[in-house]
Amino acid sequence: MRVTRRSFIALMSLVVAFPYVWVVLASFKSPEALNDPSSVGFTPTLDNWRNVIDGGVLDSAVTSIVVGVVTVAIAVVVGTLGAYAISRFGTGGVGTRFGILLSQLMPPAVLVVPLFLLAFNLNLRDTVIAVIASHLTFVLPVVTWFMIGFFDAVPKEFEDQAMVDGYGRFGAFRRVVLPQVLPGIGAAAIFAFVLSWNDLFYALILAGGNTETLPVKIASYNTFRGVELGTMCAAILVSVVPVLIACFFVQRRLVRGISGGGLKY
Amino acid sequence: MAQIQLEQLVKRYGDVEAVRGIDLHIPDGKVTVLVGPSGCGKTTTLRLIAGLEASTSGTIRIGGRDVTDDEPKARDLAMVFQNYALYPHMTVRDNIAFGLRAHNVRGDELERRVRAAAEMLSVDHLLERKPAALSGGQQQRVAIGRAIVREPAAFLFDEPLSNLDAKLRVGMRTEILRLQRELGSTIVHVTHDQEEAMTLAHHVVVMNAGMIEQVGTPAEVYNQPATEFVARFIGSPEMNVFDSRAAREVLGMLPEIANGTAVRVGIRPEDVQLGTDIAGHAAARFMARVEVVELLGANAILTLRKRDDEAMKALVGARSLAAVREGEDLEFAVERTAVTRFDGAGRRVT
Repeated sequence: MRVTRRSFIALMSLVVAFPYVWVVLASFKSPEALNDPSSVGFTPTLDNWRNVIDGGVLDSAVTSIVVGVVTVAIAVVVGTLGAYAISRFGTGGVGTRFGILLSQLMPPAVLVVPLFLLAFNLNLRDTVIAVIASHLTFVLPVVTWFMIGFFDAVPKEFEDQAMVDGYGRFGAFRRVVLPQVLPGIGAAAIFAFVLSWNDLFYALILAGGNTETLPVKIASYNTFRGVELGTMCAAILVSVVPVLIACFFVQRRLVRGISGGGLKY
Repeated sequence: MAQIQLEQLVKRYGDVEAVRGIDLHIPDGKVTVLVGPSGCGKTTTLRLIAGLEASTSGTIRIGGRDVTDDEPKARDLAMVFQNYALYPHMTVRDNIAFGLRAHNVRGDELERRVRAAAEMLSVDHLLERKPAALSGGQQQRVAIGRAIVREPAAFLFDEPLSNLDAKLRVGMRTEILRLQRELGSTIVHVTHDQEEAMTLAHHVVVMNAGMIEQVGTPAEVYNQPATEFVARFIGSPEMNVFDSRAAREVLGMLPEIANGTAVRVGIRPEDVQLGTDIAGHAAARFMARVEVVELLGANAILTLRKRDDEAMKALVGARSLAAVREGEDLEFAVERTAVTRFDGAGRRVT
């Protein structure tokens, strides 16, 4: 039984890991090797990585970081306070508590046209501000929903105690409640960053020119002359590796946050 | 320390009236225990005093000052919660110092007071630990230490002993009494445990359905219960209560008290004794079957049955048990003076 389960997990891990391995290998292959499925061995080349460095992928990565960090900073501050209100005071009723993710059901295409018009009229097209605003539409609800579970897990008596002991509502929140949910905020921030970091759709439509984010840059290797697969794979690795590392460190809290259970005290 | 005055205090949650217009004087320097079954409004009353709930109407005065609309922090109270509410991210030292820091006590003064409180509760060797590394009893002590270090106008205890095991609970009860005597504190203590109420209180406030049934010393509420509810709630095992028909027919006793206004009669289990233990004709005597004997040590609880639908409890000395066997019919006796009478509304008839 145990052996069967383990081999099943091993098999599944292979299935999950296969694309990553393929991408890593492809990033060191020449176009000829990539276009010859029959070849097993190949001579590694660093050409793809050179293209990535010379081609502005790192600039796009910096843009993505700026967009991600600002999005996360706003979402964490607003989402945390919102989640606290929803968890403690039932702000917005049960509908808000459970409906906050409803916006996720909407196809992005519904939102992107009004957002584009808005950005156009405000002269914000092709700026990071437009991208950040669009990212907040899906990052903020997720962060809020994520944090509600963490606030629910903090006993109400902590604040009651702090308020009797001499602090106001906000003082009690800052000194007693916030430290309890810091791990949750960390996980939410990383989760939110990944959502922003991986977005192609909004970034492509609202800021496809000078302020290319990393996913937009990666997509741009799908050219009129064909797909520059090797370079694309190297750029994909630039995009994926930091996220993988971040997720590795917060995986447990991430799972707890996503399952809405919060941490136990 | 200060006295607390509640006047016509009401708390409504939507249609539910949790506290229904209570008037209560909580004297300075005494332990006042609010006791009652779950949902009787005792914890709500405590939270109203603390300012953690806003009252629907009525007035709360602490030390003569109207604090009804004041924030909790402005009321100068300290509270100990059932789950202790020790901040898990702070050491014991920081937990105890928390309230002092909120009141801008710093430096040597802070250190001196934290240490004094910790020593008073014998937790001075635990100051650098986090709450998770403490036992239940130690957490309890730290929680009380955090309250006394502030030297507030009054202490509010919300069932602080109910998470402890039986032995620790008795120990902590004594500890609270010792601290109270030492500090002369005003304490409002909430519990559902009538034994805890009896042992801790200078004044017991028995609550039921959002109202006060009786306020009195432990002896008063036990010996002169104002209502049938108080009579049954205070005392363990619970008082035996019969309607007058059952008193007359089943026990074959005391017909005279069943006349007049009294419609129910109550007899404390310790007033039901073996016939051989009570001499003379001042007692009403009856035969009953001993169904169960529960030995407590010095005493034993007997469950007696006269007829199928009428059981009663007797608390007898273990020494009298030699003659008692389960399943046997024996003679029991009740002193006439030991009978409490209640009218149709459940009030005691004197």
